[in-house]
Amino acid sequence: MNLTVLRKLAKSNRFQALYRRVKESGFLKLFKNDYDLSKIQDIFLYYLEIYYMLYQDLAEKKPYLTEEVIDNELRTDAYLFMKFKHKSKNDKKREVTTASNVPSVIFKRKN
Amino acid sequence: MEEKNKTELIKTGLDAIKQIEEEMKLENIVKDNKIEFKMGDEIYRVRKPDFIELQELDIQRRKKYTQLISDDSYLFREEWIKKYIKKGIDIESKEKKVKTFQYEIEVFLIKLAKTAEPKTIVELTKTIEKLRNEQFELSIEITDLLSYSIENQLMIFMVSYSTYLVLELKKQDKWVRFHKSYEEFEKSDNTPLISKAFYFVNYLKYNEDYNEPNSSKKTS
Repeated sequence: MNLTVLRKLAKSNRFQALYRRVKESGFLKLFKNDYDLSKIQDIFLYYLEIYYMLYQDLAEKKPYLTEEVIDNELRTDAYLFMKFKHKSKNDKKREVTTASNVPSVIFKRKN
Repeated sequence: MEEKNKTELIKTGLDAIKQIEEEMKLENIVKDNKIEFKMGDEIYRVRKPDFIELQELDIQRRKKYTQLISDDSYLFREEWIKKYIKKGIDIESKEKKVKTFQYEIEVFLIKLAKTAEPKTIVELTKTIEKLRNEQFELSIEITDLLSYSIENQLMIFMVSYSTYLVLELKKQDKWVRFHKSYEEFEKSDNTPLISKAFYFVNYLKYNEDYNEPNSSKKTS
């Protein structure tokens, strides 16, 4: 499966614009079939979302992200890896800091 | 010099056309969950199996699985691993090495993500590509070593049977199953057609869909 071509297609202005409209309107269709997606449709959808998110990060001027990074597959992978690793670390931290010592409510049956 | 520039321009142009053609082909494949392709004068397609076909696939999988486990010459993945150990081939340590490659790649990916220095980018790219190639080669070696395992044989059979079920020919605007039976499909000498159908079925379904659930656990 040619993932490079699939990624290029997902990154293209045409598909990014279409994907944005689908997300905003909720009634436009990306594919002829509404359900039972094929493996390649599934992967394509994943990359549409990935590039949608990357362009949002770029607009927000997130550190380490530039047009050159998005144009380079390996650098994009590196940025995404760093971003998701950082996110999962933060999520773990949040789990620890929000843990409270207050005992949970115990429901007892009234006799 | 001018002649060289012309050749380069033509090559760039041809590459661009090839790229557009590939994108168009892929766009056509992505548009729905069916893939049409032309061979000779005929139009064929593969599609996702329907509910009835999935049930048939499940029955065939069970039959094949029973057949494989009844034959002592077929071994589970875990049994092959133990056999290889006696021959001095440690698959588990090869699998660990694949994971180690992954950790190394991840370290370099983080470095690559944080740099904008062109020279460092080139160096890191080379390192990551080298590691990925080595990791890929080792993964292929493991796959080859375990190709006769029951799990792998079952997966090959499932892809094969699935291809037989969903390969169709266009006849007067109607789609009809190309092979009358699985036996006919197996005996087919139209290798280019079968190979292409296999290739496209791979675009439609994940390999995991064909695996025997928890089959490796059955050895313990």
